[in-house]
Amino acid sequence: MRHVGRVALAAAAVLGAVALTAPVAVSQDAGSELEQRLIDAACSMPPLLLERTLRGYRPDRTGEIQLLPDEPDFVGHGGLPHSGPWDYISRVPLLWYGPGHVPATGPLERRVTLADVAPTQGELLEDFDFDAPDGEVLHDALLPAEQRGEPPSLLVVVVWDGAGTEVLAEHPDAWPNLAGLIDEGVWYTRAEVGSSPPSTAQIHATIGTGAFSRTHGLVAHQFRIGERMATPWEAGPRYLIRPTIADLYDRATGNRALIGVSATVAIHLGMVGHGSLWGGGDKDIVVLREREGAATLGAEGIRWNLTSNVRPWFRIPSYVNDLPPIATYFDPVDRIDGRIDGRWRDLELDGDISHHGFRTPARIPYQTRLVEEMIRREGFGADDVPDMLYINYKLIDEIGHVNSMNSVEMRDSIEAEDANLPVLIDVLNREVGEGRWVMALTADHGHTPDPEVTGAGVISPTHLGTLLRSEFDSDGDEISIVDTVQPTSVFLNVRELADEGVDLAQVADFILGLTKGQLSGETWPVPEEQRDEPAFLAVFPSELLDRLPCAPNE
Amino acid sequence: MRMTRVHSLAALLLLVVMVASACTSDDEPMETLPPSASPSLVPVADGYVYRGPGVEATLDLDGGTFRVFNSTGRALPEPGLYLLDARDGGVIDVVVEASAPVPDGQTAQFQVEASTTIEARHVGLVVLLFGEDDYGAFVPAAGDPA
Repeated sequence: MRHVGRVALAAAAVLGAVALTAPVAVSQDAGSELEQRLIDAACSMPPLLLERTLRGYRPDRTGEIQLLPDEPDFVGHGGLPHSGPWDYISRVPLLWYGPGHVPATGPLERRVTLADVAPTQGELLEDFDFDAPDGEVLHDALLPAEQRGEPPSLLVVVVWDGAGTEVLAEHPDAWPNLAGLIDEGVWYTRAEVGSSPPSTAQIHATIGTGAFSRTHGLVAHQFRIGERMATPWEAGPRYLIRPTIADLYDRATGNRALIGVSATVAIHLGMVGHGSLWGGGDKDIVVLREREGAATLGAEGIRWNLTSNVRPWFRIPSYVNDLPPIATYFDPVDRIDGRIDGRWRDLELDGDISHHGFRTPARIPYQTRLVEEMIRREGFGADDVPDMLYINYKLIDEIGHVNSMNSVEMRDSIEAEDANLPVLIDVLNREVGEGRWVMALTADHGHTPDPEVTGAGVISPTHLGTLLRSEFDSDGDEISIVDTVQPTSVFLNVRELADEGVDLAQVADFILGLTKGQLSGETWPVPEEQRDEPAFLAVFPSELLDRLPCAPNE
Repeated sequence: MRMTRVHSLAALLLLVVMVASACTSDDEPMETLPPSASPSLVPVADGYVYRGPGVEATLDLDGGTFRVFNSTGRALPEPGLYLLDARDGGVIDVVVEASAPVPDGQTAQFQVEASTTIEARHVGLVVLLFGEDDYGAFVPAAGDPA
């Protein structure tokens, strides 16, 4: 019996031994000219990009066709996406800070991934072993055990959602407080999320589990469960198929440890894990602000809540909506452009477009006030059992989608999150105590630059789907061969494709022959001089990933 | 303490229970159906239940009984299971004896045994497979949101 969990624990086997599942398979004939051309296309990917893609691939959940535009091109329409294996999305800041536990080393020039966060936290906990499937302990982020003394009372992970290395580099003067901490802690200059596609749900799960997407199961914001399309948290934590360190550690303490999350939407919950769904676990503290029944995964509400899909497994404190309203924090945001006009630059602070202030920097101190209250009232770090607290600040991600990482609004947003950092540290020192906590600060991905800045050719997923249907869907029934086109993959209805007498290799080969001009969208039309260029650097059936001769060995 | 039961091979015969009246072709298109389309299999009090679009399953680890109802509109590949150890996340194989595809509109019942003896209190997650596809975790019957 093939066993996904077992495969997860034997990474090398993934590359060569996993059986294929798609009813329509690429020809197994090694001499096939078409297959060889597709293998060549896959192997034309830079090795690092291929490695990230492999770490994010599961044959049972990933789309059938892999897409790789030639950087800076990307697949997208409407808001700017952040999905692909390129450095500008994959590379993230990673700071470890905790006087008495973390050395004041400063920058370290070596490649690490966010799968290393959980095992490094585990190293700080006494009498607890955490065996991360894909991550390693960052020993150089910690003082030698004999110099650390007692374990920290509180382990904190702070995620600046979307604040990848290149986002910060675009606004180098906007984060002086974070920069000031670099030499007081350990700053990995080559940290990356580790797998692709690097969207919010899967990378937060990597932070929590110490595993890449192929192992923990949340491979994208849309993926397959059987033959249907699913989203990562539609069924609560049930599709997350590895435990987080919090799941295991909390249980090991008899649930005496406090585990908590302050975030915005359920796709952030991979940091904390399963709550009471995990056998012997309890309902961990989770405070979100997600719109119930929303059509998109990032849709926010205006009150702290838990949506019904996660409510059975977590608990939300009763006091969270009794704190000062977000309007309390409007004034400094209003003054950012030097005018007092009820606006953040051109955006009305209390209007619909600003989501009544939640799409502005005011949300950062508003959330930190909640975090302070949670720490104080729940007693995080207050006893001799170390606790774990996860915080996601989502403003930078939101602005990256709407305004772009190059915008002045992005600079304001980074400044807001950075200005909040010493406030959070003051709270921790006051409520937990100096030298009694350790923080890891990172991001879950970067962002896509404005195409007007980079000259990127933007490929329309809508047009790609239309062309695929036009080319291959000819039987006249109402069933489409395309389930959905995502930025890095195409999900095909392989049964319908088989009815059409088409295989995955033919589809991939067709896409490989398309030009940017054929796939140009309306929001960002492909520049005229690029219209005859190939739309993609590589396109191939995902199942080839298991048997590529160029696959990197891990 | 409750342990998963070990069964003799002779007793591990597949029992397919014909529940629904209609059986559609495997070639028919899959439809996403709400869980309410199923006959609402009732788990034992300390068992596990899986409810998803077109798929419902119950597992009695103590009794070794695993039932699957399929209303997806197509046959489901042979069901499987594995456990995660609540203490360390280790994977524990579960053998589903005489596992076989489940036709649409039918309930199938199987006998199961874990590859390693594990106390029920040490089960972290119970995960459902169909063929090579991981469908995610069951929930304890006591905490079934449905």
